[in-house]
Amino acid sequence: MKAMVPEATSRFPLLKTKLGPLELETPLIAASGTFGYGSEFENLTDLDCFGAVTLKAVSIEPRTGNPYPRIVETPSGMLNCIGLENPGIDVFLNEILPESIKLGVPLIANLVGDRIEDYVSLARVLDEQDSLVALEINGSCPNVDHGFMSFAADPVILGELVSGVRAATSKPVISKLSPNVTDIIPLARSAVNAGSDILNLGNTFLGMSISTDTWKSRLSRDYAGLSGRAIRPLALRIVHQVASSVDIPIIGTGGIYETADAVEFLIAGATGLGAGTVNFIQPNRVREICDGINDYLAERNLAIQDLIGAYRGPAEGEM
Amino acid sequence: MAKPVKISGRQELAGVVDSIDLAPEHPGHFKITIKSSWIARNALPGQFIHVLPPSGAELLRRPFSIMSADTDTDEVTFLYRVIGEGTQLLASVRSRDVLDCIGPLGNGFPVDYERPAIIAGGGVGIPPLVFLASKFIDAGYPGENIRVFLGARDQQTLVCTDDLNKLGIEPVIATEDGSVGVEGFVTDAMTQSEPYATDSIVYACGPIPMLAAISKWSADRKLTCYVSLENKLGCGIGACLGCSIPVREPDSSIHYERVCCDGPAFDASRVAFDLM
Repeated sequence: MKAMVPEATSRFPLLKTKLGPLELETPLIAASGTFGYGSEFENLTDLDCFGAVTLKAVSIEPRTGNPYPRIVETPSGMLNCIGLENPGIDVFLNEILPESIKLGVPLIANLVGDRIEDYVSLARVLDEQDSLVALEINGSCPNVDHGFMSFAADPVILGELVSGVRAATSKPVISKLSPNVTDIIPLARSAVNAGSDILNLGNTFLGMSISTDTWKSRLSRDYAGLSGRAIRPLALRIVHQVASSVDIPIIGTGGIYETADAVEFLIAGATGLGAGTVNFIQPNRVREICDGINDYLAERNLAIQDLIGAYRGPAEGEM
Repeated sequence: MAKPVKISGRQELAGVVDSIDLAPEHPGHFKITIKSSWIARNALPGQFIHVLPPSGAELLRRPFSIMSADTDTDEVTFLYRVIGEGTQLLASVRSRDVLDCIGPLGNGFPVDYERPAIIAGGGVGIPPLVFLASKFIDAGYPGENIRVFLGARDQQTLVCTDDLNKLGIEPVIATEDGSVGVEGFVTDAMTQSEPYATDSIVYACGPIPMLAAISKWSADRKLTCYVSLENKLGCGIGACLGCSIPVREPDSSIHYERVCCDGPAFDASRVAFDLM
């Protein structure tokens, strides 16, 4: 095993990451919905620690999002039901993207829609934006043409969705799958067969929180998405399962709060590392994680590729 | 609809000057003073600091309204009530500890020093009103002309009266149990003290039901009213859209605005209290 030769121009020379067709400075990617449009964090962290920033989801029409209240903290995490609030593609293109471009960090757009045609239309328009390095399909949205079932819950529908977007853009396509399924492997395979370049595993886990005073949900929905440290072992398991079944790179997302978490995901088979809820708690933490992975590799004279998928299996009676 | 904002706040590792347990007068209430020249010199009434609960538990940050910001000593004070895990952890803070704070954040009250002020609030909504009242004093208003109304359940939750007295302000008080001042709600005390100049502006901070009542009271009298809302925050900087509250436009359409960066101070006539 041999470490890469550090380049003077790179801040994290050991962290250069080839994520399918994407060449990133670091494997850390801000997760959509947790990093706004990037500029919110400009005064609080060094954005160059992010290999890419995934922007808040965009839909064709504006979405007002879900009613109040939308978030509640839960043990080692939080539930949210924001409802994909966003000002729509026109405002996104005319007012938001030009500002985000100034940040100088690679940007990924996250697409949401009610129908496959919505995603395809978005992909066509966004394909013309040179500043976007990839398009991410948020498959967790309810599909109005199929009883509001999530696109990411049915391998056939997901395949049609990914194929549609694939045909509409020459940019790398990331399929962000939902963990809220019985078996994610057929869905991952379907996204790969439909032409996805990269998989993002995963999104929030559906959860619930009830007030013992009112006997109502603490949120404006019955169920909401659980994120944060609480989901890390679940997300890690999914990354490992899928990494053993597909041959395209994976972004592992779910409860990465510190260096050891990031290293775990790499060993399980992730090439990219999504950082979400941690940005709320410690906007500087991703930079510390980059330093931490860099040190981990340097101390062991490893290249980052040496870690990816290097899981050695169950412990064998080691005490 | 939520668009990106540029925040003015910075992350500061602020030394704790002191942490005072306000028991037995106010059980469960604490007042923490930190040292941060950035926050002290930039803070406006109604703005907040987003504080990481100590101990490495990695809870979400907790927002606290700024009660005072001294540009001579660089000291910033906030007062809070222990209600959950985060504030419980904060209660263990001692002087010379370090608190991880981001601030100042949010939009404070749009203060008009040329017009008479009616300042009203309750609970842990009172501390930012002390900051606001001090700015009126600094602007040359005599203390006896600043009309401050405080509402509380009882004497134990009635905080900051001493701080107002030190500014030369004698607040009118209403308690639900009648133990201090008028028996009833803060709006009852406000009604009893009528009349007010028609160009008065109401500045309010407190629990949502109280703010809804003050908003209605002001609207009934055609007075401009600004409310500073409290809510659970995710990021505190406008990125997560978790703290959004319903706002009603003149055409009755509803949309959501972020407490953390579109507020926390809002024109009360826009806030759809009936949907909160």
